Amino acid sequence: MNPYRMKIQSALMLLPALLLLTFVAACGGAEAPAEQAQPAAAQPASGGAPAAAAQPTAMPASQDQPSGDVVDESQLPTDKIILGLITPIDDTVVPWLGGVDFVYQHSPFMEYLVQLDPYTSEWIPMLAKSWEMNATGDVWTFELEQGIQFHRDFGEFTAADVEHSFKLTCQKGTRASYKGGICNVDHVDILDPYNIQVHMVKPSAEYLFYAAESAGNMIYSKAQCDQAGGFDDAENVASEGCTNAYYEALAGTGPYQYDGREEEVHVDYSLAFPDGHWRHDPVYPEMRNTWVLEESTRLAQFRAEETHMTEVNRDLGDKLEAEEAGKFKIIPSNGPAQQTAFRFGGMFYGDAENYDPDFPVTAPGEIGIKVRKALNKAVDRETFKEELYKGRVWDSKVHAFHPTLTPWNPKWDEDWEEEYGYDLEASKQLLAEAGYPEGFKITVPMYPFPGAPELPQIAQFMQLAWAEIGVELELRDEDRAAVVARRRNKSNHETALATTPSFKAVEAQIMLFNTPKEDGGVVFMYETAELQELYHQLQVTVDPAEREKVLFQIGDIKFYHHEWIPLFWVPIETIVNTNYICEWPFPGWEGGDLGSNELIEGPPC
Amino acid sequence: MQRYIIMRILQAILVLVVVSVIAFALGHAGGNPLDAILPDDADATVRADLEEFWGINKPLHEQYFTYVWNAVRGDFGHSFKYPRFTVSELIADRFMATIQLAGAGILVAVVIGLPVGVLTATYRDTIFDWTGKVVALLGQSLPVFWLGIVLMWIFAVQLDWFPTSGKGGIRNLVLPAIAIGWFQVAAMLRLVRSSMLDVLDSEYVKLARIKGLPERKIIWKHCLRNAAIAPLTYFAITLGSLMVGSVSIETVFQWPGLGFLLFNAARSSDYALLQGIMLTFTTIYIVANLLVDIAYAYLDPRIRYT
Repeated sequence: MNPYRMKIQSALMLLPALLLLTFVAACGGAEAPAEQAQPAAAQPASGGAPAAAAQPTAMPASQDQPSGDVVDESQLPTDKIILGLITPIDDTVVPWLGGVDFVYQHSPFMEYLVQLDPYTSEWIPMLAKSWEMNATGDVWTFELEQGIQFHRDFGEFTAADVEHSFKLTCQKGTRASYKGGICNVDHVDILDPYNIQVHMVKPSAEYLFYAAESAGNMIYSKAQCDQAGGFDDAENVASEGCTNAYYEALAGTGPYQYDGREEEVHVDYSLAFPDGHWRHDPVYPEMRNTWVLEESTRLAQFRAEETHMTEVNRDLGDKLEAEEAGKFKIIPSNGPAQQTAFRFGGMFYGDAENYDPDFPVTAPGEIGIKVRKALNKAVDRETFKEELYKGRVWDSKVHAFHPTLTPWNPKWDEDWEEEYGYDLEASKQLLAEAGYPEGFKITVPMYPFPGAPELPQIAQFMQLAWAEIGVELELRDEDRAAVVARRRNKSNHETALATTPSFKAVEAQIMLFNTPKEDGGVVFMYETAELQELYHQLQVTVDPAEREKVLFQIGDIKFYHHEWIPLFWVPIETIVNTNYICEWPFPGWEGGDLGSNELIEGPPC
Repeated sequence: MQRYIIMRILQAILVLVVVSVIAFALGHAGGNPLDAILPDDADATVRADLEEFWGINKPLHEQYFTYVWNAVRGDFGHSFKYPRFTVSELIADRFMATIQLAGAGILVAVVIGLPVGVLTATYRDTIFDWTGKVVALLGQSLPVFWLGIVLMWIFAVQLDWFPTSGKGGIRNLVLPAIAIGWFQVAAMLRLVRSSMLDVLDSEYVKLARIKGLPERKIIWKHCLRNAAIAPLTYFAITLGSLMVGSVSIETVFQWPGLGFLLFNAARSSDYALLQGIMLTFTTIYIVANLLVDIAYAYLDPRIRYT
């Protein structure tokens, strides 16, 4: 045999051995310990306990915000904290070109008139020191903070910036979310540079929701826009120069300033006020939000310490936390972020033109109620809660109503077991009484929805649960746009859908889900003439006691008519590397989902 | 020859037209993109303004002909998802990243596939040959996204040799290039092996051995030079395949190329962007095939259009 051939042969024989060694080296030591530690995340209490309702009326004067602890920067493991986040659907720095979905990328550098307390999810001052609603709910007066500076030397924040911000968000062609609420502004009176009055078109008792991060209504620098071409009042549109200036270097008043972005990849920020921010100084001088849609890639980045926090499913989060005791920690939001549920199409009782009385779920009067009650009582929520959410969710009982958000009727807790408690026999009995002892079929359109990976599992769970009472669910893959179009056209009869509306002001929720188009409705989940009338009453009722009465009436209809299958209030869960992040209080509300970045605490933990 | 080339170009144009129809139909099958990109409470005037701006309020056939007329002038319209940019700007911006990845994938295919192909043919029916066949089998059967995740897990997370993802220096390119090139390694290996086996059985190789030429010279100079014709023509098609096949790997590795852009466009029902990228991919593939056909026609005088 020639020597050359022998050399090659030896080298090739080593190749499999080398590959094997590489694989062993790579996988060795990566296994989790056999016993899984209990996750450190706070276990949410059982929902439904009534709590003092926060009334959005006259508010106290400005609260002092806690200032950041003095941290020795040399102790920090890095200058730049990197958050590995799920790619938002809209990814633009100019908010009026996208929905509220992406607003958390503005949290580090933009501020609002009011903010959500990251610990309690209640309204607390931000750029407005205090506020007051008049007796009729159509004029809001805000006293603004003084001496707040915009980034990049765009001057001091004043009332003119607030007025300018309303114009930007409500300009022609805006794609901003909650336009109906944000732009319910007739005009703004600038009383002086630090006091403004917002005159509403119609009363707005929950206006604070629309003046905060929850609706994405952020405050822009008028000077920055004016320097680049200004706002065209005649056309009601920002000039191209102004829009471009914001695109390039949007200036805010937050602790960080915006440094730039690579679309769909990352957004960079750096400390805006090295001498101290007026509210709170961040620990890390630089920050980056990275967008990654693939969960496996987010996990790899996190494990390789390329990111210091990420979002993964609950099983993976638990495994990571158990794997290296103390190194990884689950941090949930302090409040709920989403309400998971299963809702039906076609319940347009207030709309004779589109209403379909022949389908069991949407049948009029007692028959429809009995069918929906039967479907509710066939759902074993406790098993679902443990299997899908590891028990780390709150019970949800009425759409849009939450004890910390609205007046809470204790009757809903008392009657919960009778109306919604798991009881298969009672469920079958109800279906028989309604005239459907053999069950029926419902179609469920399925599509991926970023931020809610559990939706397909919810549909599959319902499929199994309802099979027990003879109700067949046909799961059908569809494009989201097609499903949304059918919903808009009210042609989604005989369907049901797993859904996750976000935690938001109750009036806004009722408008979106329970009113017709002319009142701002878009979901048309359960639309009746009675609900519409009550919604109109709610809009003009600002007295807290009267408002509670109307809300209870609305809640009773929603609860006792079984408008949907309520499941849980769900917090956002993040997992952090404690070498970089010790604590991070954030509220979990829409818009404020992953905000309060300046409150991230670094080591030593 | 001239007739052959003209006919092939006409066929390529016909394929492009068919693909443009399919891309247009598929793009619209997903429904109105405004349903996906507008917030739920967007009012009717905003919707109407945007429909007017993007021309989606016109009849479908009118939209199609406008689209084709603009496309032949290189104007694919405005992106829905990135309203500040035209589709052409976005494609131009991401094109080089995909070329870079595809080029690196070819390099991987050549550097591994070629020598291993030669060796498996030279040492036919030995352990090397069997190992090569297993590599080829795995290469052609493993899903690229799975391979990408496994490579990322071993070499970035556990061994910390490379970054997990993103675009940066040469280290960022290694893992996605291996993942995307692995299928082509297998293809190249099989092609080289089969060509080499043909050549190794030829009379002139036997003569060279009788003349006492060193085995290394026979294999790597005389045999490989003759056996390399088929793999070389395969390069052009490989480049096209790698670019078109970049969607999953670019998404897994957060590589900001055309595949990644296509994925995000699909997520947002941005059909202007989807159509633009699909047509770009199709054009690349068709041009690559056309060049190969023309090259064959020059190399082999027997190939003519009949």
